[in-house]
Amino acid sequence: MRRYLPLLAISLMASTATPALAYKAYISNERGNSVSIVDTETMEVIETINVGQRPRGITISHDGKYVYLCASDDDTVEIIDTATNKIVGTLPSGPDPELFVLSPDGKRLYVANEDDNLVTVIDVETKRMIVEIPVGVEPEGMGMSPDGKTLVNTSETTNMAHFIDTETHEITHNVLVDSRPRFAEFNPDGSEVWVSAEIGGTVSVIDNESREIKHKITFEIPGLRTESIQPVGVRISEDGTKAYVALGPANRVAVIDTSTYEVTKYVLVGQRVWQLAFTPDQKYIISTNGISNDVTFIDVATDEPVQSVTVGDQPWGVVVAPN
Amino acid sequence: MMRLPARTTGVVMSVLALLLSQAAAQQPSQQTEPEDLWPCVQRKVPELSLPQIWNGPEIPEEAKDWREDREVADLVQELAQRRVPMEEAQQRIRDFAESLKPEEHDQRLFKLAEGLFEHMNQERSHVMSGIERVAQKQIRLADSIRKENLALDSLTRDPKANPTEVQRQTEAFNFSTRMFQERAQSITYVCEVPTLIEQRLYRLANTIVPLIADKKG
Repeated sequence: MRRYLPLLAISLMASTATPALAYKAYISNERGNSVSIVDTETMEVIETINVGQRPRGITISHDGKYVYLCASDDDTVEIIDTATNKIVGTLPSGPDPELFVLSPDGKRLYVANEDDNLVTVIDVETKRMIVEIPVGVEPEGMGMSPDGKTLVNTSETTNMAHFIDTETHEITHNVLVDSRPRFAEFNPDGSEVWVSAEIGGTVSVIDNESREIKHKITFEIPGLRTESIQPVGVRISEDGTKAYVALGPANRVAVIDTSTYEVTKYVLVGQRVWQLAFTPDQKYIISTNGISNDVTFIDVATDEPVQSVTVGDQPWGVVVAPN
Repeated sequence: MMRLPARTTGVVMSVLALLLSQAAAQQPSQQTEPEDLWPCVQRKVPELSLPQIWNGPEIPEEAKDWREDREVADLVQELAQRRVPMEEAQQRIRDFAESLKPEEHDQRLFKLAEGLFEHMNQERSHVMSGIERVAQKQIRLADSIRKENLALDSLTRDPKANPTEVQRQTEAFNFSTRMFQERAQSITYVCEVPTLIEQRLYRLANTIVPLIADKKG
C-alpha cells in the first residue's frame, strides 16, 4: 500500500489545483465609513467592518496579518487585524492621509498628506513617525520601486511626479506630468513608473533611469466626451505584460499592452472607477466603482468583466490579502 | 459691539480672499470659462455620454422620437423623479416590458432608454447651471463682504464714530458673512445632485438592458 501513497498524493494535488484560490479582498467605502471584505472565490461580501471617517487608501502587510487604512477625516491610519477583523491600533499619519505605500521589506509606510504638502514616513513596528518630507501641493499618488530605493509621489496641484531617495529622504528629480496626477505605479522590473493624470486624461510612462517621460498614453472611447475620461488607479500585471487603468466617470478600465503602450480593450465595469487590485494568483483584477457602490471582478485571461458585487457606500480603495 | 470670533473671521476671510483673487484674475473683457465657476470638487463633466450608462445593443435612431410615444414619455417623467424609490422604478420598467407585444418590445424599450438618457441628462445640465449661478453669486457676495469689512474696520478705529452706526454695520457684516457660509454649505450638498442623477440613470438603464437581451436570446 505504501508505494501507492505518492501517486495518491499527486492525484489529490491535481484535483485541488484547478479551482481559483479563495482570497479576501478588503474594500474601503469612503462615504460608508466601513471596509467590506469580499471572498474572491464566491465573490460575496463576507463581513463589513465599521472604521474611521472617510476611509480611502488601503494596503496590507506582506504577511497578510494587518490591513492599513487611511481614515482621512480622522487624520490617522488605522490598523485592522485580519484574524479578528478588529481595529487594533493606529499609526501617526499626519493630517488628511489619502494614499500610501509600504516598503518592499514591509517596515516603513510612506503616507501622502494631502492638506499639508508632506509625505510622512512611519516605522510600522514602533508606530512612530520617522520623518516628514515636504513635497508639492496636494500630494496624492505613491509608488515604490521594487528595490525599495525610490519613492514616487505625485502632487495634484503642482502636476509633478517627485522622485524621492528613500535613504536620504531627499527629492532627487521632479517630472512635470499632465494636470492632476493621481497615481504612480512601477512596473515589476522597476524600469518604468506610470503616472495617471485625472484632468489631463493621460498616463505618462516615465523612464526610471533617465527620469524622463518616454511615452504618453491617451484614451479615446467612441461616443464618450473627453472630460469623462479621467485616469486614476493604475496596476501592472506581475509578468509586466499588461497594465490596467481605471478611467473614473468613463466607467471603464483600459487594458494596455505594455510593449506597445496601445490600449487593447476598454472594459465597462461600474460608475466612477477609482482603484484597482489584482488577486495574488493574477486571475482577477478588481475595480472599485464609487457611484454604483460596487466592485467588479475582471478576468485577467480574457479581460471580460465576470461579476459585480455590491459593497458599501462609495467604494474607494481595494487590496487583496496575499494568503 | 458684536464681532465674529477671530477664527471664524479668519476662515471666512481666507475663503473670500481665494474667491476674490480668482475674480480679480479675470479681466473684464475676458469671457469666464465655465470650469472657472465650477465650485464642486468633482471635475465638471457638462453632459453625460450614452456609453457611460448604456451597456446594451446600439439604440436605433428612431428611438429619438420617444416623446411621441405618450406612454413612454409619461414613464420617463415618472422614473426620473428621485422621490420614486429605485426598487419601485425598476419594477415599473419590468411591468412595462411585460405589457409589450413582441413586435414592439425592443423598439419601445429602446425609446424608454433614450428618453431617460435625454431627460435626465438635461435635468443634470440644469442643476449644473444652477450650481454655477450660485458660485457666481458667491463671488459677488465675497466682494461686497470685503468692502463691508474695510468700512467697518475704519469705522471702529474712529473714536468719534456713532455707536449706533457701528452696531448697524456690524450686524450687516455678520449677516452677509452668515449668508456666505450658508451658501457655501449648500453648494457642498448641491454638488452631489448631478452624481445622484447619474447614479439613478445608470441603474435604470441597467434594468432595461437585460430585458432587451432576454427577448433577443
